[in-house]
Amino acid sequence: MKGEPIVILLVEDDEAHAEIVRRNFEASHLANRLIHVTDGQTALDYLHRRNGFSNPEKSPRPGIVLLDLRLPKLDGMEVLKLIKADPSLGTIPVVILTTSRAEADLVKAYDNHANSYLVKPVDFGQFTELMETFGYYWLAWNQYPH
Amino acid sequence: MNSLFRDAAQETRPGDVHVTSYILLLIFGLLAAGIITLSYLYYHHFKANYRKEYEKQLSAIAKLKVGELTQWRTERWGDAAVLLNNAAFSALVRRFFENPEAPETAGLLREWLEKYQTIFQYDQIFLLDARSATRMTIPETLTNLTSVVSQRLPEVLQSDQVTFLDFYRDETDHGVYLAILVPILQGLGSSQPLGALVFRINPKTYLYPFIKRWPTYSKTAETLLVRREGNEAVFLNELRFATNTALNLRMSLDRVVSPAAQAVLGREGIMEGFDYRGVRVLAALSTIPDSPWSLVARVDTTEVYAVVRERRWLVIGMMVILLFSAGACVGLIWRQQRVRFYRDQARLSSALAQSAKELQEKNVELERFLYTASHDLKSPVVTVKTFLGYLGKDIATGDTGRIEKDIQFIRSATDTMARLLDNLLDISRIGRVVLVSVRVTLQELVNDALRAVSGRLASQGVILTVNDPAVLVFGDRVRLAEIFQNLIDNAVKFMGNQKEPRIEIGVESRDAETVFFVRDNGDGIDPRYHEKVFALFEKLNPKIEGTGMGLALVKRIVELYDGRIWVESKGTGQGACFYFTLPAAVESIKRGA
Repeated sequence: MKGEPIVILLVEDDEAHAEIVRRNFEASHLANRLIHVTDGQTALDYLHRRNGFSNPEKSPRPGIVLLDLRLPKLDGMEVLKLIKADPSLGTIPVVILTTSRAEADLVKAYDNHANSYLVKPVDFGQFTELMETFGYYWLAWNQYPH
Repeated sequence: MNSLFRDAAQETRPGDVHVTSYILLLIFGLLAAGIITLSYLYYHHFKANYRKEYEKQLSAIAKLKVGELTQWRTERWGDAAVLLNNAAFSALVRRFFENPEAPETAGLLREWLEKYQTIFQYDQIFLLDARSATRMTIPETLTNLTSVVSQRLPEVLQSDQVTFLDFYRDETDHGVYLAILVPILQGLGSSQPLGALVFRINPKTYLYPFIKRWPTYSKTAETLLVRREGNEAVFLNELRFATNTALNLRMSLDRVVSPAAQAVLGREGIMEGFDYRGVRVLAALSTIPDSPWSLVARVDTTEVYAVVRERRWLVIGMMVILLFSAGACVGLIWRQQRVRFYRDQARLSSALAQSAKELQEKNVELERFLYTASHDLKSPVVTVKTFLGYLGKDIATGDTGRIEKDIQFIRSATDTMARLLDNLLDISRIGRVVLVSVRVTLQELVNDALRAVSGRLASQGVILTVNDPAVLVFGDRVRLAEIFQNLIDNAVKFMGNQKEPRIEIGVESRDAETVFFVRDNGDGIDPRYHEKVFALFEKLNPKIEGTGMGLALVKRIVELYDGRIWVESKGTGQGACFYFTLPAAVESIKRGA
């Protein structure tokens, strides 16, 4: 870990699930890097720095996106597609975090160049473990382009 | 959809067409058989009748001719009989024989005989003496008596009877003649012959033309006069299709198919045979009484049957036309059946395709429903389990602030689950539960709807107006009220920061269609999401409570009444108006149900 700390953009409509993610990051002292939006349209607005997200100080470019699939207004899969199709955003790793274990979703997500696909575990211990592992892997070990 | 499918299925089953084809073929067969039989019967009846008529005609002509010939012969006998045993005439002849030079006697005799000759059209009259010498001829030409006559004279002179000499050939001029020989006796009481009169008849003068005459127009008909000579039938007259036949043409009696031969054998009546030309003829045969003659009135069968043949072609023509018509009729019916069959097939298959498509749509919808339902149900489960874990930890550490929060998250998640399950149950019930239809006004429906949402309406100070309260609909009151309940609920939820929140409910008429609307002056909806809002589990704003099923529910109810639902909104902050139609609930009112 060197240079700028990595910013995580969490796109999640369920307030409770967002809270779970936040609590896990707080435990790993990563909460200050977490930016949370509740729908697909807002996520794109943030990434493109428009509609109130124009200040790069307040809205830094995320190093990684944690994306739920079922979202209001614009579906998660659509958001993924748009990010990966955009040359300025395509390099940002997108990790899907969803309750869906459906094969169709998995295939579609990888088809659209998702970098990882994680299923929210029902068990409390497992969810925490997943978040810890996520932190190690993506924030400690993973290398990002500049 | 389902009713269409059922109708199509009732109309024609595939097997029917083959059955109809066979039945039609059978009908045509029967018709054809009937037409042919009738034509045949008619033709035969006509032919038999026509022939009978022709035979009658032929017989009548033969009878007429026989009658006239008999008459003619009787007259000739009569002519001669006047001079037979005539004392005055005998005296005159005797005086002439005694003194041929006496001009008075000769003149008187000549005058007498000349009258006979001209009035009765005799060819020539000979006066002979007892030695058979010609003493006078009228007209006065030097013609010798033929030997045929001379040979008969002694016999005639010895008799006191008139002798009819039948057709014979004169060897001097080769003409054909008949002759009547009359003996002239000495006088009263004496049988001594004085001489004889010979009345020669040329048949060309009267007899032949008379025989030749036919009372109607005919191309082949003619009359033959024949007599028997040994084993042969001799033709006595000149014929239509042969020349120089009189006394020349002979026919063996062995030839049984010859009408002439049959006639001289004494046969009478109608027969069909072959005449002297070898042509098939229809003939009426008759013998002429007190004579050696037989008469044949004959006509070629081709002429007899010319009319019949003509009629036959006519009948065949009619038959063909009738057969064609019958065939065309049956064919037309068959074609119509085929067309109907294929139309039904097409309708059936398009109905099938339609139902398959609908089924597929339903499948996709169900799949999506299952997917989203499981997803949306799983989310609160994840929440509950995780926060139960946090709760345990927080109780252990005694972090009361977090405990409170944990419980709040759990409660909210279980509420969401309960609501979700309620709505799912609701939606699954639509279309399954039998509806009880009643007449209900728009105002009554809105009132029903407000019972569930009036609290929130009042707390936010929303003013609700109903424009056409008296409009009547016919349907399930609970379901129809649910439409308004969800739309009002929706409007209140998305009222936003509106200071004077208003909801307006009413009816519009668009293209002869009754359109209901629920209009608000709240947040409005981005045109991008106008379609999406009606989808199951779709929520535009995650912060606002709800399961994303309200509008989906409304849509299902509207579709239950064959209606459509759509939203019109210029965009965020411009208010929204939900329109929907309920044809099934409105039409029955219009029809006066």
